[in-house]
Amino acid sequence: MTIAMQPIYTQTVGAGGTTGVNFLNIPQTFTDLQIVVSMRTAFAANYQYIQVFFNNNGSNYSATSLNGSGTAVFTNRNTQIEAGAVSATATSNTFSSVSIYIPNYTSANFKSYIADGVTENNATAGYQSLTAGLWRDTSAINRIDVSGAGQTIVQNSTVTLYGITKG
Amino acid sequence: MSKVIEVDCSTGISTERDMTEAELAAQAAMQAQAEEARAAEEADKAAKEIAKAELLVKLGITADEAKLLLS
Repeated sequence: MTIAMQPIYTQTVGAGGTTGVNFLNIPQTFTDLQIVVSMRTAFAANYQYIQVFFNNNGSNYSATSLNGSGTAVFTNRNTQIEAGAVSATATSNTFSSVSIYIPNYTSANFKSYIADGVTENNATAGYQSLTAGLWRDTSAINRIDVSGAGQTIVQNSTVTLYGITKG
Repeated sequence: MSKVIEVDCSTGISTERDMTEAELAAQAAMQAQAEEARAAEEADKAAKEIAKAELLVKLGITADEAKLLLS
């Protein structure tokens, strides 16, 4: 069995930042997709989220997360795709590391995904999350929108979309 | 900031454009939802910390002593 992982596109955020990165017309020729994000936002709080939508649709997501904050461990249920983004109060020049894996994105079944993410900070407060999620929709995924949940994504953040083919 | 980057994966062309009114409204809703989720997480975390502190008071031990007991 051969497995190939092919970068479809890497978007690096330029000067001035942006609100979101949307991947349109995603090829339907792979087996799975993976989104890899390195993100920092301009939001002045300890923690900020990356938000991801499939097919420009903000509904029908259900997710369960196991989280750590540097001082506590907690779980939560959610109705959107989330993972950590470094915020403006974190150590300068640090970015979060997030991976979202979407198996069988063209199938006619509901779409499952796993999201793992960590934020970086030279302080006690540092966030980690591991999320199991489901998008209760049978449409093939042909668009993925990545945002900083309403906050400005700062320069040098990157979002890469990979296609994975299983032979 | 009201710009969004769109990548057309079929052509490999990336463009930046202004967000539409609908997108701006959706973005504001997303932001509110994220704020709500974060507030809920913070409240949950705070409640757990309070419960832990109350338990330690009931047991008459400190957090360090509890760690020693559990080690």
